[in-house]
Amino acid sequence: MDMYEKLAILAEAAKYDASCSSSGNGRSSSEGTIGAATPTGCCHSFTADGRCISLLKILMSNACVYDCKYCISRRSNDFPRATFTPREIAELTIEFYRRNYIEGLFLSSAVVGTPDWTMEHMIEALRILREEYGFAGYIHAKAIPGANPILTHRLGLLADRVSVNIELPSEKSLVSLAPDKTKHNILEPMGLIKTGIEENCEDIVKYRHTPKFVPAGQSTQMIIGASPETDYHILHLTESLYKKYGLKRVYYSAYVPLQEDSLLPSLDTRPPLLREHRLYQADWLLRFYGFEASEIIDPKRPMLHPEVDPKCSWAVNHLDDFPVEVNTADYEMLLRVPGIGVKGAKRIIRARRSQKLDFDSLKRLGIVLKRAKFFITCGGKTLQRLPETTESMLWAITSPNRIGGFTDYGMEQLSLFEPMLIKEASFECLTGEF
Amino acid sequence: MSDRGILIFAYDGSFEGFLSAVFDSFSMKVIPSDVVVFDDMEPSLLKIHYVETDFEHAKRVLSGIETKLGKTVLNMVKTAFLFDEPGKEAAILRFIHKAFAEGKSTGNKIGDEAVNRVYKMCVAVNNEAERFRQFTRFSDSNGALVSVIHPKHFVLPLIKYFFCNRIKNEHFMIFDAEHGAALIHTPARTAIIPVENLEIPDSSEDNFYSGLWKSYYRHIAIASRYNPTCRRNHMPKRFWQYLPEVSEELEHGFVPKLSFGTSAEIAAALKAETKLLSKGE
Repeated sequence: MDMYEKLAILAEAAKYDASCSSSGNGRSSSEGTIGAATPTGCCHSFTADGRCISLLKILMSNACVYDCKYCISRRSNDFPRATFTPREIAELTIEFYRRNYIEGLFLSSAVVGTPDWTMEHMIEALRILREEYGFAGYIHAKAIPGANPILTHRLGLLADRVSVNIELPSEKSLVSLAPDKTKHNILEPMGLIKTGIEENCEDIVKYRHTPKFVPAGQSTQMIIGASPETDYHILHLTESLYKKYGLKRVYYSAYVPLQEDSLLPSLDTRPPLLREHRLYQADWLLRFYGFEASEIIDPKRPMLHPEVDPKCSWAVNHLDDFPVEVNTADYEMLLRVPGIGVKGAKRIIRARRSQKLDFDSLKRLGIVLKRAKFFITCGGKTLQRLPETTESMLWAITSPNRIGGFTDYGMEQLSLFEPMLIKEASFECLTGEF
Repeated sequence: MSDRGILIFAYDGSFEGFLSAVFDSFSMKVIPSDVVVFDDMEPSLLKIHYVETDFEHAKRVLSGIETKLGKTVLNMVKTAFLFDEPGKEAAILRFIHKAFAEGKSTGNKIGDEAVNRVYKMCVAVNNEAERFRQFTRFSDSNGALVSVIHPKHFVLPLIKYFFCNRIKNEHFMIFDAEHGAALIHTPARTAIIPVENLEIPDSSEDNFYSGLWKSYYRHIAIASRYNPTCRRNHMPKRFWQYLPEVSEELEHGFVPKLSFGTSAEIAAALKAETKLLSKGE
């Protein structure tokens, strides 16, 4: 089997892994090495589905001994099988890297024989890359659940980021859909990596030349929509993963139906892309915007709203905290304004140090006022009359074109136009009033 | 400042030339209505002052900006000068005058109209540079790596570190055909030099890895998530000319077949492809 065939098969098998980031670690190259890493990462291409290609994402092998129901590489599936040798992986990475196709390697694998055998071969591929080729670019490696802790540790010394997929959001789903994997098997390496990173941080302070262990942190992934868990459950799980295991990222992967199974959604189900998108928005709120999961979602409405993003949904339910004065509000509060993101908030802070901001200067800073205008004041002034109730605010946000700038929000009941009904249904969902 | 608005400065287009123009503007106490490059000058009724490029003056302006106005302003001036659209010099000059009048904090007044203009130029230049870090592709010709790019702005100085750092021990060249300059790197030396015309070495022998890359690109996409708009937002079409992975799509305008979605369909497609390959087609 030649490289073309192997690459086609093993890329085909690897593509359901969501993670492709090359961020989190900076490193420059030195004499006799090739490659560097930038803390912000770099995406080198985008596939026809709009996802980025930053790393060469391949499986080492797809000849799996496990039989997870949702997986294309499961044992009982009739699918072409291939296995790369460690040297082939290293060579391919270097040649792609030189041509600026990729930022590095994302190596995962099906379980071939035993977890230990698989891990040993993955480690060998990374060792060749790092030691023989002197590769200093980014490496993301998947730890195989159930492998010897010593192997996980060795993997961590060679890779920038290590991840263990928790696969499904609850133990119950794991038992029914991935019968060969257990919660313990998955959480054990995660815990090992977490303590490894903590110890390594202490050692680096003491001894300057301590080799770095998983310097870009660890991440994980779960499949959304293959099992019945709610967004409420998923977001609280995510939050506890960030807090307990110090993860850098939790990835969500909308379930893509590949095969018929009575336990899985039917083949004609569309992947829940909008739900995945909303979960990512909520995830960003947890990581960069200082939100708690309990603020974003409550058990009475356990799914995120499809029409309005989670931050907006929080804001319309906390109108007492608004409007925010742009010239004085602190960074944390600016971040909570719908329509203002991390970049926008930082620009506002930078600009207002030496000048008073009005709406014109906000526009110049690139702040999109479409939604923000309902939640902010500039020097005590608002851009237009602000809606006072959650319902009218939602109405204003979701239908900006229909009403325009001259709205009298008290008059909305008189509207001749149809969409009232749909909108009202959506308010219900959002506010939890029904 | 009685002459204000009726005078045009003409300079040679170099950064030092521009700094000399700044020097003249301060020493003559005028803010010209426009600053243009000799070569692109159109006949005009306005009075023209020809700026003589003086390295001593340029150095004084540069160190003056650095000590009096700080790193932020200096970086903005340097970055904005790489912007490549008419009117950039006048905007930067106005910004410098404002900064000397109002002090160090001017660099932060990005909500102000004059400052914002320069700030936006910097953002545009930096964005363009990031795109070329992402989408520059090399082809290997006899062990040396070669790439030709057509950036909107003069980004070579900004992407220099990125490439020189990562492939330090390679010989490579990035030729900016739009601005007639090339970044040339060998393990011993790096330089950006003006290049008028360039014979691009034949890279047809480099088909093996670019072929693998194309195949990889096709197989890593998920058919049921097909989203061309999202791809275009992240990877606008004007960059496709550099990317081997989309070269066929660009040339023939066809969308690669992504219609198979189920495991059985993917398996069948892979088997068919393997068969084709083993026949040597």
